[in-house]
Amino acid sequence: MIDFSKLDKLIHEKGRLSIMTLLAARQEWRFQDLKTELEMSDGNLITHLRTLYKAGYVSMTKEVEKRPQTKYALTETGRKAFEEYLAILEQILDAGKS
Amino acid sequence: MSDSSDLSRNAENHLRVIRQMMERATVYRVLSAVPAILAGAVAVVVAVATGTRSEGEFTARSFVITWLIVYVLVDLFNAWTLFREARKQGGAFPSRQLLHAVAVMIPPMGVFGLLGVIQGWSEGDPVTCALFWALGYGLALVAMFGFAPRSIQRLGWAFLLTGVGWYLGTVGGEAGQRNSGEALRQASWIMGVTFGGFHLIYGLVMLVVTRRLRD
Repeated sequence: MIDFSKLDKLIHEKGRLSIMTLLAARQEWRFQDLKTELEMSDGNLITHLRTLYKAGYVSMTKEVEKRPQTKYALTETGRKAFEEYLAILEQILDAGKS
Repeated sequence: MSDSSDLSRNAENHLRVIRQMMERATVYRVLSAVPAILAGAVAVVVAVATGTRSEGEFTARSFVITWLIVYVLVDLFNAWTLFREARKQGGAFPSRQLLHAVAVMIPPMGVFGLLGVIQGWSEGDPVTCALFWALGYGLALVAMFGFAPRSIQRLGWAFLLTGVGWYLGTVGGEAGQRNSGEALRQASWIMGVTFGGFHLIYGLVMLVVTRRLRD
């Protein structure tokens, strides 16, 4: 029996799910690169990132190279939450097939 | 029942989003804007220089050597750019994707590259040499369809179609002519238009698109 309450509502939103997936695929992402890949507005992306940051899923590093930039990465908590989310999604699909 | 199928459909949609994002994250651009512009500019300059040399002063062998030097220099610059980008993003160099791209490019570029050298060096036929190089490079770019962005594949098709078209247009003409001034001019044109022009167009388009997305 699948416990649907375990499905992380924070990740189960397409914008945040896309961000979590990109962060899971590569070690670190610059804000501008995330914006380019996701084709999101600055405001929208910042809101989602802030939500994930507050939940402890995402870490943020500010750096100044030629110009200031912010880099984002998944935290251990975030990676675990993402893996659990994927596992539940898989279970839902398996249940749908049977 | 309908709740369960809605949930399943919803899960499928979310998995589709994950797949799309994973694919985007692993798309690999083996040639970025600045090295492409530099490669294009160098190719145009060299093509004009070799194409305007007078007969006798420049042979098919000089043609092969000149373009091999250009190829090595441009490749070194591209490798240096990729190295800098990898360091900036905290990634490894050479990355797994770069090694994969090189492995995909070696067969077509190696075979056509060698055939081109043989045509130019031993047969004294610079036109067929240039066409083989353009075709080999085009095939190598198109072969990266699984992980390269569409722009790279379009660039590959431009090389392939131009190479085939030019070959068909020159059969019985300049192709097969040995060390003639006209053949060297024609070969320089092929290199200038394909390696020069196409790289310049690709690089400039990439530069504009990237800047627009970043702004």
